[in-house]
Amino acid sequence: MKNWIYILGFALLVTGCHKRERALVKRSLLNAHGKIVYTVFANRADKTMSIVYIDKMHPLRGAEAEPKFVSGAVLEVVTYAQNDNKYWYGSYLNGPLRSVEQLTLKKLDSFPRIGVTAKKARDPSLDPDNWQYSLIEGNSPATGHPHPGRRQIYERTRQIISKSAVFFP
Amino acid sequence: MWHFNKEKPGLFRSNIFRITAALSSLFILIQFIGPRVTRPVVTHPLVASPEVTGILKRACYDCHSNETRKNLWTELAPFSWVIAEDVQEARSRFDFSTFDTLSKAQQQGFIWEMVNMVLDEKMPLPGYSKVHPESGLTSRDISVLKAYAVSLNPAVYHDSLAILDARRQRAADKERPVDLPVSANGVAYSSIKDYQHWQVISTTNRFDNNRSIRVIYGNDIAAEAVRTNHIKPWPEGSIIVKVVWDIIEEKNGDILPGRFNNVQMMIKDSHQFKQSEGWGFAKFTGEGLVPYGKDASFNAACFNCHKAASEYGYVFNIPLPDGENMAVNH
Repeated sequence: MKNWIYILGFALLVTGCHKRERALVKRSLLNAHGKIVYTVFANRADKTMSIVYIDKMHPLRGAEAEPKFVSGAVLEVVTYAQNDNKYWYGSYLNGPLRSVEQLTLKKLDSFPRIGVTAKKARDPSLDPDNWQYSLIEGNSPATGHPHPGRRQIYERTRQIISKSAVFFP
Repeated sequence: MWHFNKEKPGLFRSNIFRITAALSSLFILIQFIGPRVTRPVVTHPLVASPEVTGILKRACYDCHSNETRKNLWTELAPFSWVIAEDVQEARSRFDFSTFDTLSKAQQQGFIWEMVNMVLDEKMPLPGYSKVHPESGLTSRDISVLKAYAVSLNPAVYHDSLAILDARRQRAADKERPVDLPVSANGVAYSSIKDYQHWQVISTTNRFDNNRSIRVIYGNDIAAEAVRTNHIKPWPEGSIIVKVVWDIIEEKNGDILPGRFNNVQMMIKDSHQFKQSEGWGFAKFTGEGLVPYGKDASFNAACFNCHKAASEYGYVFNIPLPDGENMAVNH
């Protein structure tokens, strides 16, 4: 009888430990709040990977001749540190979250309507001054600290909005 | 003259003698039959630096080349039979003696796979290493092999053709095919048609023979499984989608997505995919979303590679748990 009690106790200990170990392991996945992936990029020198989400994106057809972003568009740039992929040398995986930045395109009265041909050089959606930048979480990828200066914000905004959308089939 | 004792049989009549004689005869006889380790002429060997070939000759060539070293066991049946079969099997996978007959892409693929097998301690085979301690690889040997693999696929900075190609694809922005494709194993693209609105699980980028950048999505079931670490096994109905783009690399380290390459998916259906721990695989390439695989057998090939990630329920690219970090070691 005593043996059975020991066996039962051991079994409970083992399964209990296993469940606790499993429950302790969590992975944080960023909630993009309905936004979809606009583009993705990495930098081997900085050892970072970033995903740019967008809340609304007009169809890309003919995009070369139209404003790149819809008036009022919100971009969210999520930057992770790069990790080695333990299963494949030759691959990096995103690691800890470094920063979340948000860029909001101002609603401009003179903003051209979609479908109206505009010269790319005059596209107001590509003017960093027409975007509101805020650092939601972490440190600025541009400076490495939480309070980037105006110049850095301008450059970072320019860098983000100049990126092309990825093609999805 | 011999006098045989009827109660105690003499040496030649004893059972021990008979058995020994029979076994000896058999042993001599089997030396003339059965498979032998062959050593065909080396025609198109791997072309690499003496340092690289030196390591490979020491650790791999006995099985993966026509230059199998002679020793007692390679010549003595029945051990030689086992070795001959092993060598034949190894050469059929890839043979350094005919390596240069392969396309560059095939060669690169084998070298990257070899490096990863070594890192995973699957090669040289543990049994072989015990008998051949000289085949053990030092950390310096591994560094040399890694550097060799990387040298086969150097970065092309600001590749204007790749940039133009991606721009053309975006500008054309073709409509998705009306009839959504179905893979030969029954996995349908329609089950992931709204994946862009799913949870992003992770991102990867590769600097190997498939230089690319990827975004990995999970449906609600898969995303919850990742969050709570319920991935051994993954729950039924989990679907994972990986979107792959070629890359455009810049000298400052920037890696940008280029042309869309393919969409890959894994779907957990233990009823339909019993042979692969419940995972069904599919890959749809190009704007036309052309399904990979002529018949359903490709599913087994996909699963064979994914066995390496058994610790993560056969899925390669899920992020490390919170608090864990594996520093990048360029």
